Amino acid sequence: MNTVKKISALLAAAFFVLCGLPFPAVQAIQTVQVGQAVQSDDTLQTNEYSDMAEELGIDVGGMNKGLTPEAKEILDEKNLTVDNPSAMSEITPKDVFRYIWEEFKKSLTKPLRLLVSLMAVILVAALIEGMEDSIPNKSLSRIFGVICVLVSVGIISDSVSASISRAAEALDSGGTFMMGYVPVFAGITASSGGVTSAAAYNVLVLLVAQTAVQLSGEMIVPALSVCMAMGIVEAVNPGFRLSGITEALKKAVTFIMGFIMTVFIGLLSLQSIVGASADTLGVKAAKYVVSNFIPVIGGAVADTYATVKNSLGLLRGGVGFIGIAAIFVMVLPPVLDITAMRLVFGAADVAAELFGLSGIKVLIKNTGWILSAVFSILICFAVMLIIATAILMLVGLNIS
Amino acid sequence: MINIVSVAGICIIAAVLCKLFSSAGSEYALYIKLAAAAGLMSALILFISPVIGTVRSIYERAGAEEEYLTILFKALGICYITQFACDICRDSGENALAVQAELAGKLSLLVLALPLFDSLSEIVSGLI
Repeated sequence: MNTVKKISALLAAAFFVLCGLPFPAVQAIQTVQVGQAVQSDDTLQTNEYSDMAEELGIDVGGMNKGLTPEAKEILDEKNLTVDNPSAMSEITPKDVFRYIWEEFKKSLTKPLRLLVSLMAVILVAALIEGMEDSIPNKSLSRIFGVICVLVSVGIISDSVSASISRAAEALDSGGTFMMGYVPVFAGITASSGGVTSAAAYNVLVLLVAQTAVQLSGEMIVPALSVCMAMGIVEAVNPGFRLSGITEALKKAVTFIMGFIMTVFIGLLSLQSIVGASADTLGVKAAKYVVSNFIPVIGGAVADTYATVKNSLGLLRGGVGFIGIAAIFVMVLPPVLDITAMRLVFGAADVAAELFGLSGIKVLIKNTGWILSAVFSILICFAVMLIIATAILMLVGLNIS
Repeated sequence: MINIVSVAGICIIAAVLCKLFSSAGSEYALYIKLAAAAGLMSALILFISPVIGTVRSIYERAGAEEEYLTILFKALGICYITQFACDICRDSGENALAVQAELAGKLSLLVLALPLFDSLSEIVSGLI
């Protein structure tokens, strides 16, 4: 009878210790059967990981709310879900490059039409420029040059405005997605032991996401639109030397982007690496306490915790992969769109240079700069979020 | 395809005739010059028509607004015609008329470009 009482008391003690442990991951042990947890990850059933996350109080579905319909469609098409880790490993570099190429081909259609239109204007303008001796009247050819620039403005303004708006939308939707995604990813990382790293990620990435949402609507589009307006005015009337302002803005954007990226990546890396050591210490201490202070089943509980932690590692990897893939899918179309536009403007710039059309050249140069600035901002935003997520995924691996 | 030999021949013959008739009376030389220049200009317009058609069809295929191209070609035509009128006037010693023709050409270009200035102001105000 005494033996039965002792065993009951030990089981009760083990139960209370498990409930009282500081790591939310251990709470999952209550619901995830040991038999299920120790089986190999490949044999886990559908929804197993999202169920596990739900047991930890993390709504994995919440991170999909910020996805754009296009990104959602692509992720669904590739069956990229938290519960399907095998789909992630099936993606090859060939698939990625094929996707980029297909998107690039789609992005090329409009810019190529734009190029044809611009080339027609450049050719007609070159007709006048080339026959300078036939039309020696400078004032007539100058007015004709202004008309050519005005026609070019009419041709390119819609496409450039659309590209800027598309980029701003991508920043906005990327930021909105991250605001839903970061708590989920940070929660899972914290549950698997990386409390300090997750806290650093949560604070910094949420800051970047919120800043991106604010900047896209209130600063980037208006500032670049004003720059474009100045660029147009300068091209129409070379008397206004506004390129100095746009050059200064270009330098400021490049400096600010570089500075923010350096500080962000540096701070996150340092905090994550230092935090990983503290987290590893905490996890090891908890395992030591569990295996030494719980009699009889302490070792089994510590092993179970390690198994659950590994399962959570897979969940963290899956959620991290989805986050990176979502940002990539959301930012890629505007990036490719701008790349195609820049290629087209590069070709038009060469043609304008070839025929000595200074007005059109100034317009193309100024517009090209605006596109470059949008491109830098988008790439900076995407790289910061992707690197931050990747750092947390990597740091989480080292916490044992 | 324009026959450059014919064009060169017409130009040389017209120039020789102008020289011959200049001693008889300067007005005859002017008539010959005018007739030759008008004929050559018509030939050039006929020559350039298929080129304009090709550019227009390329432009249409690109899905761009044809209005812009029409304005460009009209402006090009105005430039040539104005220059032609100015040169004829100056050759006949009528500088005042040449200046008037030039002014008319500039005004025509400005009137032609007015819708473009309108759309420019719309674009710039939309951007700001």
